[in-house]
Amino acid sequence: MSFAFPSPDHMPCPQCGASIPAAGGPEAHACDEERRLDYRLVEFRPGIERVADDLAEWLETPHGRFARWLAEHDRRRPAA
Amino acid sequence: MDANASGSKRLIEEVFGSGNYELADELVAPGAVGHDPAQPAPVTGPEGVKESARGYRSAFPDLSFTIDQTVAEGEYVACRWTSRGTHKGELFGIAATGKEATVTGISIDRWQNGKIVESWVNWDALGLLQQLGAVPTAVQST
Repeated sequence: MSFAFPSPDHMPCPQCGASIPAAGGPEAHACDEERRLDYRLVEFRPGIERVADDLAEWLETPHGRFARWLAEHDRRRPAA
Repeated sequence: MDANASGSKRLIEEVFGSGNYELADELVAPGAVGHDPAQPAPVTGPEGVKESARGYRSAFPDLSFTIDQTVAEGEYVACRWTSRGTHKGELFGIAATGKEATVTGISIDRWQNGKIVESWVNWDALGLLQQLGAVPTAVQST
């Protein structure tokens, strides 16, 4: 015995996420560039949100602590 | 369109569709009970309606509704609607996908003394989950 869920009338475009009628198929739809970029950004958001945490973690390593010290050292050095 | 039908339409379009939450105080009776299978418990009173609307709108900030048909009979009003929105916040444990979804549903409200006292809604939750990629579609599952 097999079972399959019915398909919805609309499905998101795989490229831009816009809701498009399933009957027309993706070829009947043209992606809006701004929406396409927004949609891609959602995919990358977890990585973007991790950057601050990764940086904070790295700044506590010996390399990171030295980089902070050096940056502060350079900032205080009088301009030549 | 009679006043009850107009009120049911406004609840969907303005409270859920535009985020005009305070309108629920005008349209929903204290102690009113709403039955939405997608909610873990009955929605109670204007505050329950506001919380429900806020929940859906936090997941779909651009949520909008089109009323496709309204039928009024006695103290009951039925609305057949289509909603559309972009998934930008968590819903049912699903993190934002950025996908736009189109979902249909039917709401039935019972009115007394100018306010909704009970509501029943059935909407295509399965279709929404499929559009968000949380449940396979027929094509994917064969």
